[in-house]
Amino acid sequence: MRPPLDCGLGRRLDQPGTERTPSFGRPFIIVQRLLSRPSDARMGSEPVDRGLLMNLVVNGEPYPYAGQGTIAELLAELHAAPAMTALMINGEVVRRSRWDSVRLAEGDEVELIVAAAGG
Amino acid sequence: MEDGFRLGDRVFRSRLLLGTGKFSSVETMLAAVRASGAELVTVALRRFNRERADDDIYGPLAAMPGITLMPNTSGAMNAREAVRAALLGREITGSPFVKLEIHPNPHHLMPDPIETYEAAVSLVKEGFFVLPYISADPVLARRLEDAGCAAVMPLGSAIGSGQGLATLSMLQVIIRDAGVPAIVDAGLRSPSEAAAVMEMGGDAVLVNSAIAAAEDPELMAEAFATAVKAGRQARRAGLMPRSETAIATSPLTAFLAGEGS
Repeated sequence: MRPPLDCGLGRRLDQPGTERTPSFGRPFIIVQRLLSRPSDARMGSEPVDRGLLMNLVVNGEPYPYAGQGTIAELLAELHAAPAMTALMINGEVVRRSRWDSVRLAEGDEVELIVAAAGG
Repeated sequence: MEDGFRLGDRVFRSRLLLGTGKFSSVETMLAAVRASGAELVTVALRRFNRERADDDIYGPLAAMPGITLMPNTSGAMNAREAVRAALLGREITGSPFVKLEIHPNPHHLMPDPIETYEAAVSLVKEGFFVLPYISADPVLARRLEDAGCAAVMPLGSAIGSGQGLATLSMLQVIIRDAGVPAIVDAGLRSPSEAAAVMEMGGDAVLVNSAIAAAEDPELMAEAFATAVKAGRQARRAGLMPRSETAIATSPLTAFLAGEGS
């Protein structure tokens, strides 16, 4: 079952001027916008070993990112413990169960939230 | 007989709920949690900070046996933000409990009743056990109970003020009428106030500043735990009726005056 594309990634599908990810080719592809759906990966229509460069905003700060665009990878890069971190992309909470199926895209605003002391 | 109180699908034995804010160090906070015997402990949320990756309170709290975490929605200015905060809190802790607090004005930190009600309705639908922090308003308390909240948490006085039970008469009404647990949250300063809440039939108290800002937080946590227990015992034991006049406890027979000749 494909999860609904409601985490901000989906909205971009309908935006004019949106560029598709080139499907094959160089190991490192710079794209304006990455649109990757879980079904694409499952169908094997995209190269497995793709690297991407994109400009994210992580917790309000510009964050140039290179990698596969997975949440797990971003968290590892930031040394954020996945079990202790909650995630929002473009203002929408992305539940842990959906992390594997979400791919980050150019311009995404990512918020990583952890527990803090409070009453 | 076990004297627990039910929140959502759980029964808690400790009627002292503890907030984790304002402690001078994580170690002090953990020591106070331990000394308080609290089973339900609140946490807030913040942005992840790469420079403070080790400054984690979730790990040690989650590792403590018998502790259920209750994320709060502090920082939320409206219902939408509160719902989002609740979802994030649940992602981190896995806890079904949420302390719903929406206080947009930093000067008095009074909860916004309209946004709180709206958020409560949404969060109940999302399957949360919602514990809303509210003014001591019996009408709102009833509306939130009807909306499916697991408890109501009226304030004794302003958050962190230490002004004690300024809302006493309305707290009494809420406690008397509530069909869900009534937990007095905020403003308490001394263990005697916590005991008073329990004596008047309150189901629990939530304390943070009174313990965190004490000279010895660990000892104060223990003091609150003792007071809450004493107040609860007194409630169960049943206080004697009040009388307008003195009623002697010793015989007032006039045998002394009657002696001799």
